[in-house]
Amino acid sequence: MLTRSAITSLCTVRQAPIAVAARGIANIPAHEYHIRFDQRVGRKRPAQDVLDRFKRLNNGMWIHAHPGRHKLRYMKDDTWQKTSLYYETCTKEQCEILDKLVTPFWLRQKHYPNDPYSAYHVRHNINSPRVDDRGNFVRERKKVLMDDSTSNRFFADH
Amino acid sequence: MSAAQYARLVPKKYRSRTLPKIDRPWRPRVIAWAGPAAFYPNRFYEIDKWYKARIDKPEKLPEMHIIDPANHTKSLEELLKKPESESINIGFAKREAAIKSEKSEGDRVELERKSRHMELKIDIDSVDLENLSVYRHFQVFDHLFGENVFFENVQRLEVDYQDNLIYSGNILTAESTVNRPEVSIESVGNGKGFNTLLMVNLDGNAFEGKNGELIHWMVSNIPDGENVAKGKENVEYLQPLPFYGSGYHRVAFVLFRHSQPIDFSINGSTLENRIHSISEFYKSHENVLTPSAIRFFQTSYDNSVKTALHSLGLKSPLYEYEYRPALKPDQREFPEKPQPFDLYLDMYRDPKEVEKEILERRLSEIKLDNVEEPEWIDPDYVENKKKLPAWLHSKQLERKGVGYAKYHNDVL
Repeated sequence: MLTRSAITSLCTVRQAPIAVAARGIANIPAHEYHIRFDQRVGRKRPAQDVLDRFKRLNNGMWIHAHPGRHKLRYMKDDTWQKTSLYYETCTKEQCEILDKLVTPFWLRQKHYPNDPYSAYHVRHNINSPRVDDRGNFVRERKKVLMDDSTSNRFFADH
Repeated sequence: MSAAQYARLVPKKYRSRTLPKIDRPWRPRVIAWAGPAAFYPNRFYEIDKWYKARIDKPEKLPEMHIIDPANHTKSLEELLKKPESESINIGFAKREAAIKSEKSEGDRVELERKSRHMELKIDIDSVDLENLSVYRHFQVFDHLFGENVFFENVQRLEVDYQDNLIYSGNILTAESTVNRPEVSIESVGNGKGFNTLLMVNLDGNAFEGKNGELIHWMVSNIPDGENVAKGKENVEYLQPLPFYGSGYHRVAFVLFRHSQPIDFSINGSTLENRIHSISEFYKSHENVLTPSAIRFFQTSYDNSVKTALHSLGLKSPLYEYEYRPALKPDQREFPEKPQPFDLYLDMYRDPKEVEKEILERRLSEIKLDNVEEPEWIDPDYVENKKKLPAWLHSKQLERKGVGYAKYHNDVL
């Protein structure tokens, strides 16, 4: 009896790290790619994985590191060695999905001292509409709404 | 709704014989199938309040360099070949060099052995420096007198700026040319004849609509074998003024020979008056003037140029190279394919703002006099490689390495 329990405990010890280590694109635990609701608070919980792996710029663009950049580096070419280190942009649909996976807190504009990303928080020379259908700015801080020509003259950040 | 749910909700008495089809929410299924873009407000039907519908026109790419092979039948050699016409010597015949001692066969063998063992030493002063290919390369004759013209150096002309002798095209700092040079001219006519010295900046004409070269100094009618001070100074000495950003300027000293004193009409006090076309000047005095010697040097901008211009009551002009704007695709708000975010957004930033950022960066990094800079570009490379995001680290390395000049050149 005693020996049997010892064997089972050994087995569990052996199996545990295998189950933890095999986390890849194929098996992401289901709770991580769903919008979860906290029953106690009655509100949405942000997906922690999204917050860990992605960064949202103040203009609404999400960026992320290149997935799989650490895999088999030695057998890949020089161009890949360089470009795999880039932080990449997401497409519009991905950005929207990610916006839904986090709470409004993370959609607010954040301003930090000595932010290395500070130059990239505003977009320049974009000719898509600045406001959505409700008249809110899509990628800017809130301000008095005025027509495009005036704001182009006096405000550089859009 | 499943059959079990229907059975749970509806008592048996009221159940229908077949399971009814109950409408389930269809929007999430469409989103799952077609993606969130399926329900975007369509700009053609639901035009927003403030903005007109914008129809994206197809991107018009500028034409790249199109090389039509039909237009390029000639080889490079044929293209570079100049039209054959003999260049004209407008000066004197070449002086016959004194015949050096003939070398015997034994001497030659000995010289060859020395040269092979890197022991052959040549006295630079004894080497004949009259090599016109340098002048041809810098197009000095072309820009002074016109194409296909040259003359030989037949009179020794030594121009000396405080131990900075002028040869053919050596580089002097503008600061060393502030004071007028000492000039010694070889006497070739046994006291007969006259020399006229001209100091010309071939690249110094900054005036639009006025063609010609900038004369810095002109001393005419110097009697043969006499000092320069004996001649008549038509144009007073002015130091060469290579403007900021205009690169190296070629400054030439040209010596003319003439048998009778000539009254030249050239005189200049202001910068604008000093501009004369040398080829026209030579053309008008072609019958009596013969060029006999030429020397030139090169200078570039220096602080002394600014002070000289200020003392003339002028401002120091700053020249900048106008680069072609970079060729780039139209910006997408959300690029289709993943792009490196920093490079993509940098491409479309306002260049003025980028410059401002660089300047702020430089002003914040202005250092004290006695600070020792680290020997390596990034002493904490290993640490930073782990700690910083790769784009930030590469930017930091660029600032110290390849892009050093961008962040550390003189601010004017």
